[in-house]
Amino acid sequence: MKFVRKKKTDIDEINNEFQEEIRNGAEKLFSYMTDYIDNHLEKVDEKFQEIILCEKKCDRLKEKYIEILFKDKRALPFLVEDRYKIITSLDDILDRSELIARYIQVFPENFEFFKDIREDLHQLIKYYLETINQLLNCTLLMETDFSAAYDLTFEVEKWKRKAFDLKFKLLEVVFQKTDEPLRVSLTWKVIGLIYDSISYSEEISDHLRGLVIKYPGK
Amino acid sequence: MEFTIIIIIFLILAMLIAVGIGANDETFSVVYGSKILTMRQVLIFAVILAIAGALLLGEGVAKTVGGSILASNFKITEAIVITVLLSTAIWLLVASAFGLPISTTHATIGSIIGIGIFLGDIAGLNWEMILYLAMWWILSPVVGFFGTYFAYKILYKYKQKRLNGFQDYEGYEKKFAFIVLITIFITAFARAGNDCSNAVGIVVGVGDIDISFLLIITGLSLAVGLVILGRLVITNLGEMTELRPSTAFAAQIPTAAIMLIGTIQKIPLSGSHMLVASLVGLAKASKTPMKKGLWKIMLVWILTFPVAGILAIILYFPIISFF
Repeated sequence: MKFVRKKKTDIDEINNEFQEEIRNGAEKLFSYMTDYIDNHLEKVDEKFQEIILCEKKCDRLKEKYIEILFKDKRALPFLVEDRYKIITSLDDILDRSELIARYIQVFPENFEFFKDIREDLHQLIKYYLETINQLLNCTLLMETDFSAAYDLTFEVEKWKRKAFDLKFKLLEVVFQKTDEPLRVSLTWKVIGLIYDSISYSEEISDHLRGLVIKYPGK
Repeated sequence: MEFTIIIIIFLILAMLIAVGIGANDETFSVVYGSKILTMRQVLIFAVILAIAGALLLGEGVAKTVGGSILASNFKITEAIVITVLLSTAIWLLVASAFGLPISTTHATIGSIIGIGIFLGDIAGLNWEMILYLAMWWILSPVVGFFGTYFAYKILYKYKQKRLNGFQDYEGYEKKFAFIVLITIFITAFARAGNDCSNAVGIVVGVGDIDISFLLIITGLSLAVGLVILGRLVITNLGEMTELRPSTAFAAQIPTAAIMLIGTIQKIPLSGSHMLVASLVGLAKASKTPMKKGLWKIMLVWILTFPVAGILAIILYFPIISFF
């Protein structure tokens, strides 16, 4: 019995650590993007490395979690399956965050975002951080409180809708700048990548909502 | 034909039927379907309980099958016994090969009724007993259906609805995994006693044979059938609808109760019918879609009585020529 409890504690601890690391990664991308948008480039390389490290740490934690998850022969298969799906989806979020950072890292040295969209870009990256934070709260609540998790999925959806409107507002401005095609192309790509991460987070929250409906406890 | 040879033929056929019963024994399908046990664990437990149940509970029902269905003045000859055993075995093995859960009880009694009507006309049968058994056969799946339906609804209303979060759910389902195992063990034990009597019941009707010896042989044969072919029916029924330990419990509890009461009351019952009815009740209560193919199972159920009866009549002619 003690062994079973220990295993349970292990998996809960790893899960918490993993989710904290995802949150940490998202915050690092937020900080990296904020600096980049404002053209404060002194620390961006350092922050980029931190994002990469964060992603690697998450991968290791995920592997550990999955190992313990599948080792427990007494675990209920449908719960194993659902937890596995959640953790791999969350890991994808950080993969996407790393992709955004890597993409920006290879921009031309003299690249700057258009001044008239910087404020909205800040807003978009705030939405990104907020969506991921809410999603992580939601996945943690799935363990202990279906109703609260269910309600939170609508919060995630709300942030995604805001991001959706903002994305097109930004693109509308960017696409008018026909005299700088490279700058336009790189900017809309970054906007697209950030929005995709938000949208993907919302897809995960949709999945969580479905799970709550599947389990009769809601 | 020499008596020793006849006894050997009886034994071989009884063993063949017991193998067929084992192959068609879906008692453990819910624990397999809800992933409480693996197929290997299912087979180990099923074998132990099959042998124990046959030995300890088989006698009473065997006497009902062998001595109470045909009219008291009807002489059960060796040819009749072989015919009944053979027709039951054939129908059982054919159904098992297709993974369809049929009732050995119905196949055996269908064969006895077929041969009874053929040789003794309407008066050849103990209709009072047949009607009494028929009442149990009709009521048991009905009780299985409603028992499961309400068991699920009660569990849902008073417990499942209040579960909150994966952790809560995990604890709840794990508790049920143990409870459902105990229920299944009771069912498997009672059912082995009930089912083995189908294999040996008609042999008992002839007299002169040690029933304990017959039950040991059939218990072992039932175990062989479970190991060799049983997994087909277990898988087929276990995947009929979505099962979790708690829902498996709701599906199993009426079957366990009726099977145990029926066996103690010496009534030959169909565990297959009860379990399938329970699974349908569960699917209705939980509004879960059912796997396609229910109509096939129902059709085989309906066909079992006439097919076994007609098969017995057809087989009787070549068999009687040996006596």
